[in-house]
Amino acid sequence: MRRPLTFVLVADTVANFLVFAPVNILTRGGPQGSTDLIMNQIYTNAFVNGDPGSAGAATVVLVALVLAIVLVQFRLMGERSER
Amino acid sequence: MRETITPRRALQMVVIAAIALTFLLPLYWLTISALRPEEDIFRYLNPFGPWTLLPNRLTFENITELWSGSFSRAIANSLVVALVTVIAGLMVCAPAAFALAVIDFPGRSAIFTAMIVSFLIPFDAIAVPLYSIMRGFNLQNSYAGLILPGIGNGLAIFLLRQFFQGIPKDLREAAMVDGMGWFQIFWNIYLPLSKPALISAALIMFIFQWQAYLWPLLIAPSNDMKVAAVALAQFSSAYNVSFGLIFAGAMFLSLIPMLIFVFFQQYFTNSVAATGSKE
Repeated sequence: MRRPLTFVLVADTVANFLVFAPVNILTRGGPQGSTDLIMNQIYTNAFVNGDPGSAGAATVVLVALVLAIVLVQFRLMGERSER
Repeated sequence: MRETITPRRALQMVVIAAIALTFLLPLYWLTISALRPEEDIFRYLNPFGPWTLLPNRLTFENITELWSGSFSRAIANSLVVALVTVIAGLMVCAPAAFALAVIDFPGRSAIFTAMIVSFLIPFDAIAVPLYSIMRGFNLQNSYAGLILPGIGNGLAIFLLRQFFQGIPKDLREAAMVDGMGWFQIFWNIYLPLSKPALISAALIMFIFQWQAYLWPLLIAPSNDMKVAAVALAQFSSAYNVSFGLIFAGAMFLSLIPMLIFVFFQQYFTNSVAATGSKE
């Protein structure tokens, strides 16, 4: 089960980091930012505050962060050792 | 052999059934709301009573109104886009996954990492630059413009690669001794053993297109080309929100993937067990 589990772990991690629609539809991050998630923040920066530069930068940081986490997950699930 | 039902087992089953019902509740509410007259939809929500969940007046007027409009065209567009994506996508993703899982070529792990990154990047973030590329090819309001971004699906490749790696090495080594080439090994050994994974990958790609909203809205806004999700959203405009149509449309939008999933579920049962090798 290790290989399917790796897939589920990675796919789920990524999907939940990139959650956007429920936040935007239900609460728009409020009240006082208490339900804000990174993707909604990026969207707000780009399309509400009109600052696509900072939104792009935040996206790059987000991708780097998720990539780091996913690489740790791969390492922990022993992806490297098998060939 | 029949299992005897112990009290513990019975309790487990009740809890599982309760959880399943909780998941079905929103879907149930969606369905009965679609079958209610529009003015009844929110009428019994507060206070919560029996009429919240039991419809006292049923009507098909929402559904007939829905299908008499342009929604049927939008559903057809969605189906075409999703089905073509699935077929073309499997033709691209399965060989890619096979190469990444089985063939040892230089740069393999670099390509694999790039593919992982491809689904780490939120699609919404690349939608706008992708739009200007597609506009350069003159693909606005065309099926090609809707379908192309869905074909190379990193998640599907990843899923298939994980599955292909689980197929015993002995099988392909035996095939190589008998003189099969890579393509024959892929076609005659790996694909027939991977039906459940191929179906999962197909469903991932189907859902990706089926629920896509931002991209179709950008690339194909014309009346002839808009997909079901866009058509559904347009039932609520600044001047008028027709909840009857929204609920009826949402019901069909969730019904169609469910039917497809239920149909394919039978193939999930005979999964990994069928590789015929002891390790």
